[in-house]
Amino acid sequence: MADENQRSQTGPLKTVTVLGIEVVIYALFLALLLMPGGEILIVEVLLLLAALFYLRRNPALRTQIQELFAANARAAWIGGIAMMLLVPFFVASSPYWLFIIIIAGLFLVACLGLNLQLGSTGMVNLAPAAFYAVGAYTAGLLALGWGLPAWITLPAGAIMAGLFSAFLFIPVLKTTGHYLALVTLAFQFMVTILLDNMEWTGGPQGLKNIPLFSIAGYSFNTDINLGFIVLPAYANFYYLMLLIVAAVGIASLRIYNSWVGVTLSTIRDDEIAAQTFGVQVNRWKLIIFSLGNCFIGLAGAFYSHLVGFISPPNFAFDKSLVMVSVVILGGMDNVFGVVLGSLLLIILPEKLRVVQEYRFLIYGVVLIVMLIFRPRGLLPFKPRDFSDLVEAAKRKRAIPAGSEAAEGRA
Amino acid sequence: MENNRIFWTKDLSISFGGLVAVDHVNIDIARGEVLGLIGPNGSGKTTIFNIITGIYTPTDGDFFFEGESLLGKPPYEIARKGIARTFQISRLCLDLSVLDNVFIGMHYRQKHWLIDAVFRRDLLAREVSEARDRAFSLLSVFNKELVGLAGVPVGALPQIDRRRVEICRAMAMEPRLLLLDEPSAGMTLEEMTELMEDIRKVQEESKEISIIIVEHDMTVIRSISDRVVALNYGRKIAEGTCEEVSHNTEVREAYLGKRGIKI
Repeated sequence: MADENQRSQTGPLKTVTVLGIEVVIYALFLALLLMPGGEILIVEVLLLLAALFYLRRNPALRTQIQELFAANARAAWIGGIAMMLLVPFFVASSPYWLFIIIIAGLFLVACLGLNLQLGSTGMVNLAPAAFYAVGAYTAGLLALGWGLPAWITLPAGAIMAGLFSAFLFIPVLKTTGHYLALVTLAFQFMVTILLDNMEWTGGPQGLKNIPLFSIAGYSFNTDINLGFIVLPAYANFYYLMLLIVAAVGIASLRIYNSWVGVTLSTIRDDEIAAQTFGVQVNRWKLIIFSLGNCFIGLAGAFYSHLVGFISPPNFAFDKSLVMVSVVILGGMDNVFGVVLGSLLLIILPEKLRVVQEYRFLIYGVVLIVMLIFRPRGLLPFKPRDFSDLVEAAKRKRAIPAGSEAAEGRA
Repeated sequence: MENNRIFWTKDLSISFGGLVAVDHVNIDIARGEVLGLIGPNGSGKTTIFNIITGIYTPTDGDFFFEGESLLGKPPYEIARKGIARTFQISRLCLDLSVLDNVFIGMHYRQKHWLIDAVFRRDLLAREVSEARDRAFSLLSVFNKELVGLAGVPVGALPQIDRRRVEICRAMAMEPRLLLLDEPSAGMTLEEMTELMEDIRKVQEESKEISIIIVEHDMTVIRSISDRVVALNYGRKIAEGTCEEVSHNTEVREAYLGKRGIKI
């Protein structure tokens, strides 16, 4: 029966439908960025609410759309990627929005790291901005002090954030429960206060004139002239950001959809049960805490090479709260939820600049409403059944055994 | 008996502050035996399970599995030795699918690691599909319908199926000692008997398994256990066949004095 369903969901017309839905969402997104004034925001929010309400009322339609996308996953991915690649072309006229999108992408990378900790494993990290700072300052100091190129400072920032978290985790290992949250909270304030007061990090002035990205002599600070269109310099950063988002996103998806993902979910839901079945809870927590912070540090390092100037207020507690909100609002342990969350929470406030003073008020109201109506986030956690992996294994088995032996030798 | 015993405790004791929860308890169990552990509420049955699985460290005494002391070993190591358990209040992960929950029981057989999960999907696919076949065959022993529900979150299942999944999860570990903490809670006697038959079926199919079962319901105990140990206030007050124990005056007092259960 499932097969029959699958077949009825494929075919050229269905593919066009999938792409059509994507194009509509994309167009709405671009319109939100490019149209001046706040009216478009109101229109789109109303549209979104209406759509959500309608889908809630018609679960059949919802499952149909889900199946449609699942059956045409390839087309959906190709379409989505093409649209991502085209973003700089559409917003070429306003580099500011391209910059905001890059920032949203960096938050996405950081929040995917946070999602590994908070969403997948249930470790409350209230200091993502502090690890973001560790990554940013590491990259900045290495680039300024030793003139190291970006392809060294980026991984260095990530690794440094990972090392910091490993050290931070040692005292936590001896405790249980919510102490990790408290320790990270303390770390957050320690980092901001230290950055403000240490001379070698520039104190409150921070680090200035951090060299922007340049790879093999090509400075990222030059416009891309394609003849028919000139893309702003931010396009360089945008494509590099996409590359990093893709790498981190795929890694996150694969961790979720694996046996490791099951182990992490069990630790999140019931530590005692996990231990009783042979899971080395502390070891896994340490690994995931460090890995998540590596992602966050990577985003931070990117940030310092993007803006060239970093100072303590960039990494204060409110930034941590935004990151935690992204994960909670988007959906715990759901990569697509985090994508949605970071787009909403980074881009909408920019659109709300008209009502600058009330931004955080609106923010708070949105979060409260969310927690009441969708406590598990916009796109909540989905249970796994591994059918895709099993299919893959079957296909593999169908190939004659000889090829496997050859692979083993290689 | 002596040579055949797989697990035994020696003067096992634990106290929380001034309260002595388990007081010099000696129990042993032979290979393939089903031992019933009875006693009124608060007599230390679950505490003993928590000690055996390494969640609590005993304040005195020692316990041995297959000749080796497990004192001070962390829970995951004890699990790896071959001791599995279920919990009195189900500790399934309700958001996770049935399959995920059974997978956790197979955690120790999982060979791939974080790096493999990201970079070696073929290895993962092979391991997962083998494990899934195993999980399905286990689930189908207990309830054929559960196989079809493998992708459904456990929270959506009725109580009896949840218990089945929980036992499947424990059996997936291929334990040599299985600890069942009040498996009959919320079940009828028929359901319970059915469940115990299923467990025996699995037991026969795989290797010999020893079971310690904590129960309130004497009918269940009578129908399945080879031997019974009765506890009261953390002390062992009687041991023997079901008949012997239920005629023991101290046991009768412990029960009748409290709730008037007829045994």
